[in-house]
Amino acid sequence: MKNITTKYLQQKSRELRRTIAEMCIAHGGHIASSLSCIDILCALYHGEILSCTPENVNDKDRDRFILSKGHAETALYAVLADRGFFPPHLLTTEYRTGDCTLGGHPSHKIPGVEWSTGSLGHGIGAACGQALAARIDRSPRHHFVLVGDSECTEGSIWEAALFAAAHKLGNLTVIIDRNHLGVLESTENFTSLPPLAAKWEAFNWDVQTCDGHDFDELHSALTVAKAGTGTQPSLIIAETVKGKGLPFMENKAIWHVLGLNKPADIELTRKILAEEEE
Amino acid sequence: MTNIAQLQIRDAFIHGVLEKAEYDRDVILISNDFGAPALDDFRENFPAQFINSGISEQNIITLAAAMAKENKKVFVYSIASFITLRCLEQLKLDICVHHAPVTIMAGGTGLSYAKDGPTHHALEDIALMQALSGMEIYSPSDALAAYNTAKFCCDNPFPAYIRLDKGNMPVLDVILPYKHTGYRTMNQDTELLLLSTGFLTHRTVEVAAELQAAGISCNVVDLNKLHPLPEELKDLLKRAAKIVSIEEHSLRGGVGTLLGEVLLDSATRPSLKRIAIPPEKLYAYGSRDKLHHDFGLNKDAIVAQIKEW
Repeated sequence: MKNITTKYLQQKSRELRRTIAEMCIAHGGHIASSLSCIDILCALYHGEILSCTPENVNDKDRDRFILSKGHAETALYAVLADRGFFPPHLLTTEYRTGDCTLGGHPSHKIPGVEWSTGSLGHGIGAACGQALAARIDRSPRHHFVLVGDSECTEGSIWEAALFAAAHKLGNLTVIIDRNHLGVLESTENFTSLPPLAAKWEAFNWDVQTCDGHDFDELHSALTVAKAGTGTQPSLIIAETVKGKGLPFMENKAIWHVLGLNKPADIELTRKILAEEEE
Repeated sequence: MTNIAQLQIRDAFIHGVLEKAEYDRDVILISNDFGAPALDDFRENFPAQFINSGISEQNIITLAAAMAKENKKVFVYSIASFITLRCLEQLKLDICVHHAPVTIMAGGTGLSYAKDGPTHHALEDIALMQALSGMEIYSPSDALAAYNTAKFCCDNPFPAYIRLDKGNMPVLDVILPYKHTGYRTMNQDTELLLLSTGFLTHRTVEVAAELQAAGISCNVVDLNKLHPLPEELKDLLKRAAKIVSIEEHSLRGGVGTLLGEVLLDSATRPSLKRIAIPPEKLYAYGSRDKLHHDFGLNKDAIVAQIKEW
């Protein structure tokens, strides 16, 4: 990171966690899923990885990011507002309320959102199309997709994985938010993801694993992936904790669907996140 | 110089795309490992504009939608029964939600692959595609119609689903030319309209001849654009006394249903008879002729149903 320090990203991460919590307290949303991946988004958007800014958002050579796990929209909106893609007050006035300009899942009509998602398993295929078009147009841009680990049970994920490798899409990086939890329980209880890295390697992807909450590791992995091998798509398995930052929520599957609406939970959340600041 | 009229409907359409691709590098053709003679020509002449994405209908549709949003003119070539049902969500979310102008070339529509059984029958595709907001449906009945529709689709700003029958069919020169690729009529009569599309338009012309020989005057309307129905056609329907729809599709959600919807919203109510495949008879095996006999879609059965009506 040339101009951005790890300390800066850690501070941003704390700010964004507070924003996410307040959004979910006010209007709902999948808070545990958002806290699981916010550090990844922070590393992409604030860590000088993704060359997409409000100033170049219509430039065809901008890097692309697709949130395939669209139910973590709270995290995406928080980081996009923080980067200036739209005014931060919309997080209060338009998120899951009124006209829902910022709806319960991301729409491509929102500045900075590259693909509408919400149903799982679409993001990698869409990024394949963008990446192939970029190659035809000789664009230097890179394409990032964030998928959930449970999402990897979708067949379309593996259709896209086969396609990307066959067409040597070196301008594509997929990040798996590996929090080990589905909606009901541990992923290992209902699907056979391990050995996850070996599976993707067998599909001819260049695979890295990192701590999905450590900015130095994230930055290193994302930088290597973006530089790429030229001929292989990249995969980063980011080991994460669902509900990260709120100990009463961490690693508890039920928080995928629970709302942050009980006064005691709200008070505790605000206390924890305020203490983090101190 | 290729004689378009002598090509199969499918190849005539692909030839139209091929001619466009020669001058426009943004024309991209994606096949899910499905071939045709004209496709070989395309691949040989424009390898950089051809993608074989393998048997992966869901990924093909998502991929195509994303390329279309990157200003590519994308044509997807697949089998009708697979590219509608296997990836219905991708058609809705990736193509229609994003308004991605992808053209889907659906081969083997209707009972083109009759002997191959229900896995290969596409008898619900109109019902499915017309339910998707923004998706247009075309169903050319001969090679020239297919070729002209392909040319039109290259610059069509809407997603479109094209029903492409298998095999050669004579050019229907007994019917007047298409109006803006929408529909064409055999004459000016409005007393009894026989509306059909694709393969069965040819049979409907024979049915009309037999009815006329029996002293029943009628007009044949060959529909190329099934959805949304052309406004001019809606006016024609409202002026008619009696309308018969004849189609190789399930009775539910096909051309007859689309016509019925126009009439339901109309102040005038011409009588409508729908000749199609009873839903309870779907999922059958047999040759196309055998199945048409079983479904009441052979010429004699159609004539009898109209006379009895």
